[in-house]
Amino acid sequence: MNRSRLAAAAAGVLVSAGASLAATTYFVATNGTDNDNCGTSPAPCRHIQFAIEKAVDGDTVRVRNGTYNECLLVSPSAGQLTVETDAFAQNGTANAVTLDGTGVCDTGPNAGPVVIIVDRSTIRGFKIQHGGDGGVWGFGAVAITNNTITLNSTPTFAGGLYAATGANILYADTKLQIKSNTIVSNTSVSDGGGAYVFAAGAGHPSVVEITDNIIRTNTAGPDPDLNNIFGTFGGGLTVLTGTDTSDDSSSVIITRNTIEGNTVNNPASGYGSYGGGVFLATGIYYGGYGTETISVGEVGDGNSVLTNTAGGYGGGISANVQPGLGGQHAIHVAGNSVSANTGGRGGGGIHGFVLAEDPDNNGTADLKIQDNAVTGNQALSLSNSDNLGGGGIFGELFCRKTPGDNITFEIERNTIQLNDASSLGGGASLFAYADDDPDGNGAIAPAGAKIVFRNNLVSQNEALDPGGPGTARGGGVWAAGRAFGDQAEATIDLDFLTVVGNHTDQGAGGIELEAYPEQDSNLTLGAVSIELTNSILANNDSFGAGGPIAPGGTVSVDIRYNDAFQNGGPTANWESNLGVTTGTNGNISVDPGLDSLFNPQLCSATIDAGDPAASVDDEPQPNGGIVNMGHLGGTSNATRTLPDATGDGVVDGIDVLRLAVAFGADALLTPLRYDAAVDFDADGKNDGTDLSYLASLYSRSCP
Amino acid sequence: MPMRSIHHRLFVAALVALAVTALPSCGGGSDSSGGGSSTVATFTPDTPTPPAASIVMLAGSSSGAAVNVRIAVTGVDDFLGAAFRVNYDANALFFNAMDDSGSLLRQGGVGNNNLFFEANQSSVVGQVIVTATRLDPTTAPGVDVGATADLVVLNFSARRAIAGGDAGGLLAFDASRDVQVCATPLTCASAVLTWSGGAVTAH
Repeated sequence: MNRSRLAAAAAGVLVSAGASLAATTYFVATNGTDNDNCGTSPAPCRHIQFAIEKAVDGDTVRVRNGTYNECLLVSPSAGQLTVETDAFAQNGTANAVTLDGTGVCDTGPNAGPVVIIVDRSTIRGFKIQHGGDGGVWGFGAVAITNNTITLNSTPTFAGGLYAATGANILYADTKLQIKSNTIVSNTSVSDGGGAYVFAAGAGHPSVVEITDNIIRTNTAGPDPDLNNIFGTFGGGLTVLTGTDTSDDSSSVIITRNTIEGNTVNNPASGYGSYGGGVFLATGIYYGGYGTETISVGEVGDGNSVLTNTAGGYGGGISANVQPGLGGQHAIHVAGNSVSANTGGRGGGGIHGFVLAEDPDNNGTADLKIQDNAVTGNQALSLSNSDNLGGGGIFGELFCRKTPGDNITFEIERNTIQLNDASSLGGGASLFAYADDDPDGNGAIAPAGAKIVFRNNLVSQNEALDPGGPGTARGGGVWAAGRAFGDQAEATIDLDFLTVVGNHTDQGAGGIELEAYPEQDSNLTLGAVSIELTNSILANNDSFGAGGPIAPGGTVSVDIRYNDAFQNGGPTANWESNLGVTTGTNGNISVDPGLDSLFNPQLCSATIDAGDPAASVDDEPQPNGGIVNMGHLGGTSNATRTLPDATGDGVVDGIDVLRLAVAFGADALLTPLRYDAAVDFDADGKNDGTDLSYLASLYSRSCP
Repeated sequence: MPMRSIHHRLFVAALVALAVTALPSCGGGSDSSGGGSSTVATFTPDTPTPPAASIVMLAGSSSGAAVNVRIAVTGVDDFLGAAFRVNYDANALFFNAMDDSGSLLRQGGVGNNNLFFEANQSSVVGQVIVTATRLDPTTAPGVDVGATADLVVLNFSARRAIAGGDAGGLLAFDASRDVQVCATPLTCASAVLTWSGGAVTAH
């Protein structure tokens, strides 16, 4: 069945439909009879589709308990139609009505979805199963809620649910809503084992909300097509955005879903698969001229993504941004719990990919992976040019003849713990690639690739070859830059990290740094820049930081204001070729005094020991005027400085007395009495908040 | 366990609850390692007759192994508050609680909103850190203390028998201390006073 042709036909009918004057509810029951007068509560119709044909704009079709062996088209003469189960309407009970495609739309020439629903209509409360080309197709701003979509399959893509906006949206201020469904055990030969959503802006803005669903044990692939050179995408959920013009927009919000136990297999061609749980893509895939945004989770509203498997990359989530053509493209992966997923080739938990091939640098790419808990994921396979590991997170950025000014790739404030890689980067693997001459013809243009990895906690991860000590390296983080030609620069910015207790086969247990300056066709070398600042590296195997590089030439290594402590022994905090000397450039080696959650305790030597030039504005007062080291440094969660106004190392009554005499003073109103030293929150007042903070730490001291 | 009583402008619920719940449970020497019901402790001050401009320890009531030590102020004008530490032998004595109910700082009806009392164990074993002060001398000015008056009362228990002359019974002010006096027009400064401790004996 051709999805786009069918959608257009359905939409045409819908436009011609007139609005009803009074809404009617038509009833359907397994003991009903289809006739001209059916549909009342005492005389229900027998078939759902029969009732749908009777309904007009604004009506409701309500279906009583039982199994209906039908394939529905919810569009027709009705404009806006609600099809719901009686049990759900009465008391919220789901699954009391089964729509079963067995024998009617599961095989043969009639193979198709069990339900097709078009713009502005709603279907809710059903169990929908045994579709031969998926369970549900939704076109436009439909609402698909509270259904169980299960045991459907497709020889192509979208095993359980397919939804597309774009030209199917006929009215402004509407949205596609996929909410509170259970999408379980569906299969597709190619992409989107559980669900496939194409969110396209074409005229009206496309707004898609995917919330509160359970997407579980769906499977995409293996695709037997030996000519499949792209791969297979999304075991549980696939989302792609598109825009036709620069005025179009598409936004997708994915929150509070449980995405569990889904699988995407590699195609038989040998190419990869991506996103065992979720695959996301925005960019030039479909037009990409406008503004496209995908938000996967928000802080406090994240998704639970667990035990999914990708044969290739991104066991839990694979997020892909490919800017160009002037559009704005963003994917934000935030506030999610990503655990126990497996990536066969890389990115056990999360895979982030940006490819910029845009010499004019007109388009923007914005990939942010923030505030996620990434735990217990694994990246399999030994390292080679295609398998760069990343047990928790694998981030890769390619800028080809693209300056990179409009490219943002940031991995921030994540908790990355207990992940494993068989190759590189037990916790995270980062690869920045810049090429000023990707065509190899000497026609060069600037290229800049920069990955920012900041304020992350990276602990207890492993880069270990399961076959015994091999080439696995970078227990906590593996970070590498590769740049071709003197107009290319690859930058890795590592800032405010806590990297503790990670293990490795080789190289650095904490952070493995690698740089690959390469010649372009003009035989000029690219530049690689690596910065490591304001970080805590402690109790990692082997070196705290190391790698087969040394500063010089076109390789810049800037390591300042870090605390490296007891990594692989007293002399192994820094691999010697990095040129780091403890006691210089703000680098220290003292017990960081971390608590059980790896947060610096009050008396940690890492408090107020970061780069004095770094902004301390976001740290709560009292902050000592200098940022802390570690993953909380520079943030609103930073450990506060001891409220020791007198500087004697103890919060005691003398500090209280100093506040007592100034108590109630205001820096502006009573400046002579105001005492900045006891204005711990720096709000210009000596008041109760200062006293409260002082009292909370009364008698505390630091050695 | 040590206790603390906090009264200040901020009615921080948790802290108030702590103070309310801590008082009855900790007062009066609840240390199970105390000297036992047959032990009788007494406190003997080094300076029974305090001079002007002094803060001294004086004997308060006692009950069995528990003894109250009054922290008494004499002859200090514009007294806003004091901060000090008391050193003791933790093998011989146990700090139970501080009582601020009769504090001179409450004179004139100054309410809890303008008061701060706190006593807590230091990280140094055998040291309690004490603060007793009014807050904001513009609304709760310093007290003119003439005759000897109690600032707070500290309650200790004897862990063992302590003979006269046994160093284990000594209670002494630590050198780290301060007193603030606030004159009118408002000028606050540290005051130099005489400090004097004493000793506990227990039989």
